[in-house]
Amino acid sequence: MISTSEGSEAIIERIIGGDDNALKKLYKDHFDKIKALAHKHARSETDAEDVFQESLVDMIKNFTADKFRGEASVGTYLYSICRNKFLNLNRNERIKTTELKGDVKIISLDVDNDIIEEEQILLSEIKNISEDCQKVLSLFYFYKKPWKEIAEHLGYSEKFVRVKSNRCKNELRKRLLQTPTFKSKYGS
Amino acid sequence: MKISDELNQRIEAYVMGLMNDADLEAFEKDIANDSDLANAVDLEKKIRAAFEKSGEDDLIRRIRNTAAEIRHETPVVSLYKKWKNVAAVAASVAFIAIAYFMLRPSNNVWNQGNLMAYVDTEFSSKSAYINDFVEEKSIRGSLEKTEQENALEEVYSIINDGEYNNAQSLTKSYLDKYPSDANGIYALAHISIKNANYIEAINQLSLLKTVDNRPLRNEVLYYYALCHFKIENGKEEAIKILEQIALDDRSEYQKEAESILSYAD
Repeated sequence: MISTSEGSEAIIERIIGGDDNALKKLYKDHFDKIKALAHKHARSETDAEDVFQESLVDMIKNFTADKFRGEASVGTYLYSICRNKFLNLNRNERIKTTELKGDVKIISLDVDNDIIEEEQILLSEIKNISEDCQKVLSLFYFYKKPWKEIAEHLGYSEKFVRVKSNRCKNELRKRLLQTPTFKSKYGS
Repeated sequence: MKISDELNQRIEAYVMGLMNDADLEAFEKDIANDSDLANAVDLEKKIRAAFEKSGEDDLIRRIRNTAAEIRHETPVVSLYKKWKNVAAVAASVAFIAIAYFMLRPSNNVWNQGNLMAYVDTEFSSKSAYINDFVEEKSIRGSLEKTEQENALEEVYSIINDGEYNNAQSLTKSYLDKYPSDANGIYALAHISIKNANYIEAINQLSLLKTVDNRPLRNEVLYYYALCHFKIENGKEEAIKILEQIALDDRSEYQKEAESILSYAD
């Protein structure tokens, strides 16, 4: 369990390490304040939940990008992200009053279909490599963890984790090159 | 494309921008003269981007599952007192249900057949989102609606009537005019499903997975999962998404997801 005095950094590190109890505690401790904030901005509970969840993702991404290193408490930091999001929501709605309700401008359709297909294959093949490999590579690529920390977290030596990560990527590369899309582009 | 540990480290350092000027210059020369190395670097960038995407997707899924778990947590004792009689009936129904599931044919072939039949039935049914949209809009006169609403209503009405060939050209015209409209992209995805182009449908639906419009997002996620049953090696992903939907109290497809999961052993 998280102690009340546990620092922001430690809580986020536990979430990054896959501890869903830390995530649950964080959620329970802070969501009610965000619901009250939503009420102040005339937003529904559904909006509160969406905004809170998005803000959690932003906070963890900012933490991994070194933009947030526990200089404020988790609660204060989350509160400020959520407040900005509610303000933006209300501002955007005022701007879009003439647009169709529920119409969301998300992404241009001028997306190269090959790129989308490659991404789909990559995402699917990532799921097909071992869970250990997914964990190591996710800590490295998504959570931007240095090899030393990944090694400590998983209980291996740094050298072993580096070699393992390349072995995992070689497995992934091999799987990708078995697909026609990647074979035609990268197969020699 | 098997890459040595030493070369892998150099590629990673290059992609992450961690090389000093001298190493960078030398490495870029190597890339210019070696197409295999250029390919390896290009693939490293794609792998990196894919892990960033899948890491974020996993984090979002964990957060949503946590929220759903918290919603499910209720004070059991007081609820029991209040709903004692209902609980007794529910227990009987549960007993019959368990008995049924224990006695029914349980081999994978049986389940697989039922699973695909269920998925096909879902695909042959009307879209609830499109149907609701058409019904809601038809109540209002065309003069009360914007030009875009009228255009979308036309597209959705034709899809609702099952005229997919006409709908396809009309949807393309609609998207020429409103190129990034989520409702238009959804129309295209729906037509792809009806034409059994599941890879195309997955690509189109994946653009809408995080759309703010909740009823649309819920339906997108449901069809996105079902489409994965239709592609090679897609079952695991389909099940993962359906488990997420089954936990989501606010999804209109919670019950359907539960039903399909019961077949997907």
